[in-house]
Amino acid sequence: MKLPRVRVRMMVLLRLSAVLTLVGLALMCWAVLQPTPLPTIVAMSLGQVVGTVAFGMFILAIVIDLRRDARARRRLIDSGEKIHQDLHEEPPA
Amino acid sequence: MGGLTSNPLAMIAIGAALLSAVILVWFLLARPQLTRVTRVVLLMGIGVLPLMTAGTGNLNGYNATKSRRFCGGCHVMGPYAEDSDNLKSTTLAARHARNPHLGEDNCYYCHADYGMFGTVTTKIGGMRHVYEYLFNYRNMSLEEARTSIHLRGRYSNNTCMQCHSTQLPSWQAIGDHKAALEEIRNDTTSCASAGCHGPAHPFSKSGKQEAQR
Repeated sequence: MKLPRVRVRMMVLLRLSAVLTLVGLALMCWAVLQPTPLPTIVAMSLGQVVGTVAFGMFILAIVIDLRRDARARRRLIDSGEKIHQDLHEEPPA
Repeated sequence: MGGLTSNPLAMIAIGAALLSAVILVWFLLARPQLTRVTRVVLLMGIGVLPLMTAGTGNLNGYNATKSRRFCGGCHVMGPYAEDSDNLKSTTLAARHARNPHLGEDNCYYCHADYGMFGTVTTKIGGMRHVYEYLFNYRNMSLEEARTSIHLRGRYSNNTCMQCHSTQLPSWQAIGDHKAALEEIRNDTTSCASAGCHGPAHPFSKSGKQEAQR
């Protein structure tokens, strides 16, 4: 039962990424609405870091999803080949 | 908020952020199935739109760091910014603030380094200002700041010569300019010294020191 665990981990990553993106966006918008030293520096440092981490997590979630799909496809192909072999195997003499 | 509608960069940044926020809040609250469409929408919400906000926000931020409002954001710089805002002030800084080519950005134009990497070195110097403010000047009273804040190095005439090239006949026709032409060009006599065009600010320590010479 590895498949559901991977799915849950990916969804957690995506939700965390969405929340972090909202935090990063809030920091960036703060600097746009109030262009004074503190908001500008916070947006251009912390805001960028939070946004980049969020995007990184999104990419990671995509990679996990693609690998999961590839693994499932490979398993399907393997089981198909086994059925094919079973069907065409000559009965023992 | 009033300047937002006249600033396309700020409008793009806020617009992209709002769109992204709508997508992300929908994803967090509606908890949709991860179909191909959901993934593409999420790519917009977490990737494309925030990148647009970051890009335009950064450009907007760099522009904002040039403005007098930004420089006056630290309380110790308040009196300097107020002097530039004062239409009746006759200081060098205030007169430059009334020049339409410098206007709101007069602090930056007179304190930015010259040359190819002038903007970069100016921004690095600006980060030093932030450090100094956070760790040394944040709790300083205005009275104390007026007497203790000073330029780190000598104010170079090269900054003045970005606009006042010293080449024009009308500039050279002024007796004092003509007499001190070489010293002005090789930076041994400061344009901003008392008796010439300085002190640039009414509270600057360097101005007081120059006046005592």
